[in-house]
Order: sequence, then structure tokens, then C-alpha cells
Amino acid sequence: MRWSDLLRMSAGSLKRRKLRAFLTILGVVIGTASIVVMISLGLGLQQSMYEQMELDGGTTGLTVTGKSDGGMMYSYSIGTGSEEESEKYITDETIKELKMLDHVKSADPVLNYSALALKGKYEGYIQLYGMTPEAMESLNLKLEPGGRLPDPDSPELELLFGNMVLVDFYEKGTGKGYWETGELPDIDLQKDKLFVILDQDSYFQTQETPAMGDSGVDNGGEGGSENTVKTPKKYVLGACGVIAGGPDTYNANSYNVLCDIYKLKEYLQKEFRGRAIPGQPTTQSGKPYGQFVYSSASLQADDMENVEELAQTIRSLGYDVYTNVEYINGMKKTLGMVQAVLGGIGAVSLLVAAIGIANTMMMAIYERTKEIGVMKVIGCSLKNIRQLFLLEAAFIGFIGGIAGNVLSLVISAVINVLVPGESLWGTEGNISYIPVWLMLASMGFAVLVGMAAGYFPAVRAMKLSPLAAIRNE
Amino acid sequence: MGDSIVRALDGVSFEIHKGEFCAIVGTSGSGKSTLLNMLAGLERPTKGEVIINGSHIEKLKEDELVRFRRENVGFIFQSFHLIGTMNALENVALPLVFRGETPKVRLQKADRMLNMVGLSRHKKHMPNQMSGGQQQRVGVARALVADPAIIFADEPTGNLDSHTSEDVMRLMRKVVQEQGKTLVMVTHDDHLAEYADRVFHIIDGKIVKIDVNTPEICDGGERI
Repeated sequence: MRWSDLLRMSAGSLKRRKLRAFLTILGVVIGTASIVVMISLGLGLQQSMYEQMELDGGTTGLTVTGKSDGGMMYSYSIGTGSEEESEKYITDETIKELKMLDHVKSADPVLNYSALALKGKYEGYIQLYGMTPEAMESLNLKLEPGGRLPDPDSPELELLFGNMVLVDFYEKGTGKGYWETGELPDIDLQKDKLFVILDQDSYFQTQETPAMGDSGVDNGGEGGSENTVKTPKKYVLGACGVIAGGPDTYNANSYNVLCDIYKLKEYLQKEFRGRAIPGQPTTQSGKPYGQFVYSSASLQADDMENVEELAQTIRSLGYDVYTNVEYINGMKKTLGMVQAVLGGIGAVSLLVAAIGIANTMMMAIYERTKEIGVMKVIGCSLKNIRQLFLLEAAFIGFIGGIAGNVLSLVISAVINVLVPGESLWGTEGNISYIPVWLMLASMGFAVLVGMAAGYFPAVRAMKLSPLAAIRNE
Repeated sequence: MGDSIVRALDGVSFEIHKGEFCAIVGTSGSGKSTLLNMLAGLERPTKGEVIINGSHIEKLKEDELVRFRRENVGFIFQSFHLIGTMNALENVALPLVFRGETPKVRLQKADRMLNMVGLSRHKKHMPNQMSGGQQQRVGVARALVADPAIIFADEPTGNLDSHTSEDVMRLMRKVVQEQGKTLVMVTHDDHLAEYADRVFHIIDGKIVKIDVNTPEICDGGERI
């Protein structure tokens, strides 16, 4: 028999008992929809986690930090036998070394520095986040209109403010900030210039002892001697841009103030000439090293698959590595379990639907016993008979699968509208997510279930004796 | 039943020749239907052999039997057994569907067959829209459409009135003569058996008499 004829005949048989076919299909629709919706909830959870990861640096990113053995008691030098050192620092050498590794797409140093910012009656701590221009570019930041990335060739340190930086500012006298008053400080980051103090220790010391010279705006701190506390310099710095978003829309860089890493390094080295820069490792005597040490290195692997391997390699070199992927893999197991449980709940209803299909097919065979007999007598092969009934059952599964998917898309949309994702998982994104593969897989599964349920009846039809079937009543 | 052994057929041995119209006549329970079922491979004999065109029917597996029937046998039933959801044309084309013929070819052949049995105006009718005689004509057309060598007819006129019965018998007679088919018919009606070349009278599973209505030259073929 031709496939087209098989399909036509089995579809035709379904049409004969429309109500019965409809009810059976309805069972499959409900079964499929419950599986798909259940799994879509699990996937939505996963999806929003991935989105969260994407905000936090993506899935191919690795953060490499140096390792220090508790204190900084041992001497450190890059040139001589650093392999035996228990301490590892991220220096320009390290960056070069990391770049040479397999699967590394890019390696850029990151310099974190906490500074104090003053503006009118407000002050606040800002996290300066020095990055290379390339690394900053690859973040694909969305800026408020008019903003641009810091220009590495600019004579001044240009700042790119995160959209939530102002939240951390507070009024000098009252100490109240956004969280107390619910109002953002009256600062326009785009236009206003801020005083930025890099040397906080000195600043607070001079604040406590106001007699120690005038804290001049631009030329303070130049007359200090070794013994007196040096008046810190206040840098007047302007913004080149602000990351798009209000005080409530979080992203990975919301609280950071981005700037060019080399400029920041230059500023720090100038500010702390002859002294140790806070956060930098020092020798036992408190002297700085010859090498400038970065806070961390941010690496991009060429593929998510290679991240773990790369992390292992770097760990074996003696550095600390943090990757989102390893976190994700940990979560995946949990999520997989959640999805399996949810899918299992849905599968129960599909199982019930499968029993319905089997029942319908058995009925159809009793009803058509005579017809099956006649078909056998006039030359329909056993294989074709079995195929006819299997196909009929598969049709039920297929139609049910399609309708079930349509239904679950509707349900999913309703859920997403009624329950916004933020309230449930704390991040944006839909709580129900139906990818194409889930639709295809569920349809395939419905067809498979239909055929499995129809198999026993089909074999029974095949084995019917043609003689008994056509015997005159 | 119990301990007693019932022999539906007992020591039956005969030959049917190619192009012959045979009738098997007997009362109800005489074993005539069993005989036909065995000839057509629907039932297996406990002993003995059925040879059609050189092949042993009783030794074939079920799927081989189906193939054998599909290629060599046409069947006409007492209660027509047309498929209720198909019209006359589709019913006639059904054996060709099982043979894997293309829709165009099989509808053409079915169309020709329906013209031959005189139902050119009822091609689109469903079985329940046709009279018993018309339905049986469709049945005859269906049995013939695949051009089988042998046609088995199980009481083909059993559900028809006498006038229609005559029509159907004349049709079958005509087919056998024109197309050289072998036709084996089971009936309980002596009168209808007169249409046949040879009549086997069967009582209690035994052939008691063979009447030859029209002498014809035999050229071998089937032997039971």
C-alpha cells in the first residue's frame, strides 16, 4: 500500500466517529498541554537564571584573581622563580600569560578601586572599575542618550556611571540617602562634575585634623613631607556617560563607575607616588612592588563548553578562578530535577490520555471487525492493517499534540501576563518559557504515546481471523 | 462436540480446471462453506492438500496467503461486505489500493469495471444508497478489478430476491465466459447451480455427485 493511501484511510477512519475522536484527542491535548506548561515553568526559571548570568558577565566569562597566602609576608618578584610562590598576582605579565592559553578569546585586566566622591552636600563611595577599552566595548552597555564610553586618550579620567550609583550617595550632615528618603540626590551625573578623592585614608585624617593645611581643590597635597599626612588631591572629574536605566533596574554594572584602566592606574600612581597604593601588595616594610598589580583579570572563553577546562588550567597555574558556568552547572542539576518533577506531573495526564487512546482503538477494532476481515480477504497485508491502526493512533497523538501546544502557548501567555516574572524569581523575564524544541519534542512525544497506546490494538486487529470477521451473522 | 469428532469435510478430492465455472451445492451444514474457505486459504485443513496453480495453499503462512489472495483471488460475499464509508468506485478500487496502484490507474480500472457490471450511473453512490442487487454488482466488480485468476463466491445471491439473483448469476456467467476466469461458487440453490459448468453436490462433508452441465475441454490448473 502507498503511504498516501495509508494516511488517507487512517485519517478517514478517525472522521467516522467524530465525537469519540474528539474526546480522545481532548485527552491528549490536556496531557500535552500539562507537560509543556509544567516544563515551560522550569525552563522559564532556567531562562531567567541565564539572563541573570548574562547581566553578570555572560556564560563564557571567567574572572581570574590572584592568590595570596593570608598575609603578604613573602617577598615577591616576577622575575625570579614565581612558580614557587604561593602568591599570585595579576600583573601585565599574567595577562600576557593568560592570553597565550587555549580557548582564551580575550584577557583584560580589571582594576577595582574604591573612591570617595563629593558633590555639593552629598557624598558617596563609588567603585571605580578600571577596564580596557576593548573589554568595555564587549560589555555592550546601553547608555543614556548622549553618553559614550570613556576615551582612553582623554587627558582626564573620564567616568561612566552605573545607573544606580546615586543610590549610594547620602547627605553629608544627616547621613540620609536614597533608601531613607526615597529621593535620589539632586545630581545630574551627565553634566555635573564630581570631586573624587582617591586617597581616602589621608582625606579622613585631614578631615579629623583640619589644622593640617587647607585642602586645596586642585593643588593640595603637594607640599606634604614624609612625616605629615599628605592632603589628598581632589580630582574634578566629569562623566562621559551614564548607563541606561533608573534606580530600580539592576544590571551587572549598575553600582559601578567604569573608567579607563590605564588612566586610573596613572592617576593612582601619581597620587600615591612613593607610597603603597591601597589594595596593592606590599613588601614587609610597606613598600610597594615594582609591578603594578590589578584586582583581577576578566577572560572570555571562545565557547561555553571550554570554560570549565580553561578554569581548571588556570587553577593549576595557581590563580583563583570564578566562572558563571560552574555556578550554572551546579544550578542545572537542581533545575533538571525541578523540570523532571514538573514534567512527571504533566506526564501522568498524558498517560491517562494514552489509556484513552488504547480504549478508543480497541473500540474501533471491535466496530470494524468485519471490515478488517474483508480487507484481509481481498488482499490487505497484515503489515498494512497494523500500520493503518498505528497511524490512526498516531494521528490522535499528533492532532492532540498540536492542539495541546497551541493551548499551552495560550496558557503560557496568560501566566506571563498575570504573574510578572519579577515578583517570582526577582529578575525580569517570563516565568513560563516555551522554546521551539519543547514544542517539537512534545509533539513527537504525543505521537509516540499515541502509537505506543495503539500498538496492542493494532496487533490485535492484525491477528483477527478473516474468517470470523466475515462470517455471516 | 465433547468427545465425538465432527468432520466437516471427509475424503474430498476433486480438480477444478482453468476457466471453469463450478458450483458447490449442499444444504446448510453440509460443509460446503468450509470447503470454499479452505480453497481460498481462509481456513486450514487438518489433513490433505490444496494446490492452486502448483503451490500448496495449506502450507503458506498467513501473510503469504494474503499476498496469494491479493494476486490470484477475487472474492464475492453473501452479504456484499462493501466498506460503508466508501462510494461504489472507491469500493471497487480497494483491492488495487492494497496492491499499491496509483490513484489514477486504479480509479480508471474501477471505472471500467463498474461500466462492465452496468453501474455506470451509480459510481458515486454509497453502499447504503444502493439496492442489494446493485451492491452485489459492486461486489462482483471489486472481485474482478485486480484481474484475478480465480473468483470465489460464497452464496453470492443469498441475500437477493430471485429476480435479482438471476441478474447477478447471468453477470457472473458472462464474466467467466468473456474473461476466461475460474469461478467457484457455493450455493444451496440447485436452480442457480444450473448456471455452472460443473456442479459438486456435497452432503455431510462428502461429495456425492458431480453433474456436468456443459462439457468443456479441460486444460489443467487446479486440483484438490
